[in-house]
Amino acid sequence: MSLLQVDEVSGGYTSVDILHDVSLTVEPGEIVSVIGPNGAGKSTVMKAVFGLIRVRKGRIAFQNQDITGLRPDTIVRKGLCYVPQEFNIFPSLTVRENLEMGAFVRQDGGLAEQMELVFQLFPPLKEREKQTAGHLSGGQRQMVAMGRALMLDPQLLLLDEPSSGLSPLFIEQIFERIIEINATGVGILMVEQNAKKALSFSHRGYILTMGANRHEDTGQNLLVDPEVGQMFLGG
Amino acid sequence: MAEILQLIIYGIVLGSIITLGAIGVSMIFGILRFAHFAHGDIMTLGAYLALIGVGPLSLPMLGVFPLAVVATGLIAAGIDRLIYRHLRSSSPIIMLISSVGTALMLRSLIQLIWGPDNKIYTQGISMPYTYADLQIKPEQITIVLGTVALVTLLHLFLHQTRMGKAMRAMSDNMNLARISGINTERVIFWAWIIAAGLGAAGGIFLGIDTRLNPIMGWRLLLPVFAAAILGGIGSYYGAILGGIVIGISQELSTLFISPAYKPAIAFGIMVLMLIFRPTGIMGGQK
Amino acid sequence: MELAGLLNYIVFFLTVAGIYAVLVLGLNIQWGFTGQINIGVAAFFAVGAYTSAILTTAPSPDHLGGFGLPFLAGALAAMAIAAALGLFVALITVNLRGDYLAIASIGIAEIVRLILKNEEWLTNGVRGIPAIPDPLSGLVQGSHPALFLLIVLIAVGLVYFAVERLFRSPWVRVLRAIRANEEAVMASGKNVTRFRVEAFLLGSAIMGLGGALYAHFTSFISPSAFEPMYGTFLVWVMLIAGGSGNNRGALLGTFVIWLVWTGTEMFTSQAPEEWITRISAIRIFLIGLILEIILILRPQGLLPERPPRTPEADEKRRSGSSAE
Repeated sequence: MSLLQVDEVSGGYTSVDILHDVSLTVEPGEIVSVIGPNGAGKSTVMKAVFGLIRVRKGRIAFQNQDITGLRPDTIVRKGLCYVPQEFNIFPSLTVRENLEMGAFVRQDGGLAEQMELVFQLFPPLKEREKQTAGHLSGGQRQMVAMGRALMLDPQLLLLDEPSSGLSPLFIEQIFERIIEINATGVGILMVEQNAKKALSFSHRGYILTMGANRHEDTGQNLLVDPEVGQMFLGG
Repeated sequence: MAEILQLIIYGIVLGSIITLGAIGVSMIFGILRFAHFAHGDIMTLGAYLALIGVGPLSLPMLGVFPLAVVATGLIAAGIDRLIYRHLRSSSPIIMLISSVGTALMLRSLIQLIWGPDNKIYTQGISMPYTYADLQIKPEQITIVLGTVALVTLLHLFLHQTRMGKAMRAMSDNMNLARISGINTERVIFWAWIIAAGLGAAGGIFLGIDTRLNPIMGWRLLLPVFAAAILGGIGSYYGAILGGIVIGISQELSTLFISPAYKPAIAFGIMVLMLIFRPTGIMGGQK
Repeated sequence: MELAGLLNYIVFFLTVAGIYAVLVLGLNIQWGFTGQINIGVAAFFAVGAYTSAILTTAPSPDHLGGFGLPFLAGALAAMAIAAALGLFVALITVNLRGDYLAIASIGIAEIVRLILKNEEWLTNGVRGIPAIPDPLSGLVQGSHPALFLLIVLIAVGLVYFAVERLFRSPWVRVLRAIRANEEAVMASGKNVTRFRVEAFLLGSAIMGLGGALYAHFTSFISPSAFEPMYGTFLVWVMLIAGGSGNNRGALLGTFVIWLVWTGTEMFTSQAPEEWITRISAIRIFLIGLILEIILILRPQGLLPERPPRTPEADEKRRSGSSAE
């Protein structure tokens, strides 16, 4: 059983489709990257999965359960969490409160434990526990954003351009964290502009252009594919 | 000098009442993103609900106060369910117009039930405490202390409870709150309870300090919004600052201009804010 | 009811409806065309009425007056002063969110109301200005309500046609484009602010005209005639009910809501003394309820806005492609 299965999904923000019959899968424990030129609809796929845009056609299933068109707060309870590219923290709340909000729907009382795990993963957050999240640097904010999404101990994490706006040092750190998270068994679906880096540690990758599937292969194969290299691995 | 200090005292009393309204307006704006023009009449509603208890039922205000506050909160949540909920996806302007309709309905209902004349909670005039040429009535001390207590409770709620934090989160970033799984309708429910409850408290205080009539809250709408804008709309602490500033300014203005023009002061301050610093002193949302 | 009485009532009804229609058409320019929410309509209404009254009445110790100017001069001055007030408000708020304009307009209305009540040297305060001359007084003997109705209808007609022409002009097409996509318009170099201010001014001027008509119709005005309920809220409900953004809707909405409002007044006049204020309250409640019902169930109003018939739109229709 695939962790996530997106079957020929078409849809968009309005009546105009941005996605055209997009399909992809994520197997348990995999890191899957979605890359492509700007405007290719990469972020839109993620939003479709998470119920943030209209899916006109197609089916999305998470652990074999149909989640097409469900509301975000329902989807999040099933073990699927999403980190948007922008506006992905609560700026006036403290770091700790941001994480608490991530665990809002937790019923099982494991909040403190999970928060410890997140702090172990992102030590700088522990130091700044009581600081207002909006005052942190870009890299630290990204850690808060990801930490928030991990508070529900998800099986699949959707990351929308995790490296965007970060300095090269932080980009390295964030990618290392992503690998660590994956090592604990969490599946990752990642949209990334920094294609080369993303593919280098992804199990598989999908290339999207103009809202449709273009190519699919393992991360390594895509890295060395000359056509892919020409298109966007220059940077 | 004593006159100035006396006016400042009155200003703080009036400011407390305005603050209670302004916090509610800021809260609704922060979470629902529209200017709730029925808030003044919510304050009136609270005052009149308390009148039921204190008047015909002859219950003590101490017991009636929390009941009236909660009742007003529940009625406001009900109004949201019946009316505003259907307009969640409409523009803020449409919601504003809708709240004007609500204001009309509330005001006319109150006038229908209680009539247009002034009413008071209790007969008799209480003796003010005097201290070195300054006077303050015992009720006025209650109003200020009561406001301080309510604001403190609000602070505790917003920072120590899960629902309070969720409310701040939603105010910060509605989309992310949804993505995190926060039940936005439940938060909205509590926002109405608190915003309208605080407004009701303000209305009751106003009734205690002066008197009740069906337009008492509508008259406060302008100062309340001015205070919220002054403090930075969406910021609760800004609303407190704004309320006190507006209250004191209105009272002090009587030194220079006719008291009849007091409401114009709030407007003037607000216009200055809008021209020079629309995000308010504490920099709330624009 | 005997025929003469019925006819008189109809003339009265239509005259007031016509005056409201002028106000609603003015508001439509501000709200319908440029989305500016003016909750201070009563202020412009009042300013127009008082300006015309002051300029046309005989000298009096109670208030400013004695200019003895004819009705037309009063009406034009009313429009000018109302426009000036509109300019003041517009300049403060034109680039701010709608909510801020709304509260600012309430503030203006409040200040105008306070001035009218307190500056007795100007307005005679709450006692009001009486004996505002009938515009027909030089031309015919006695009072002729039907002729005044004609004047009002002419005014409505003029305003309507002027605004309809404006509706098809390039000026308004820019406004409509602003409503649809402000950034695109700004990018194309047009001064959005100027258009908004101009629209607000024009709307204010028309409201001032409505005020002048009202003053000469009732021949006595006082601040209580311009209460927010009558001067602002009814006007808004009329516009929303009819269909904001289009002038025919504005007229229809005015007629229907005025019908409802005066229709319910019949109950007040039949009721015993103690019940009168209560019935008034019920009528206001009803108006508020109608507003909510319309906003929830049919926000586009009775006559939804249709794209204007411009040469380009007609061409499109002829060639069979979808409407604008």
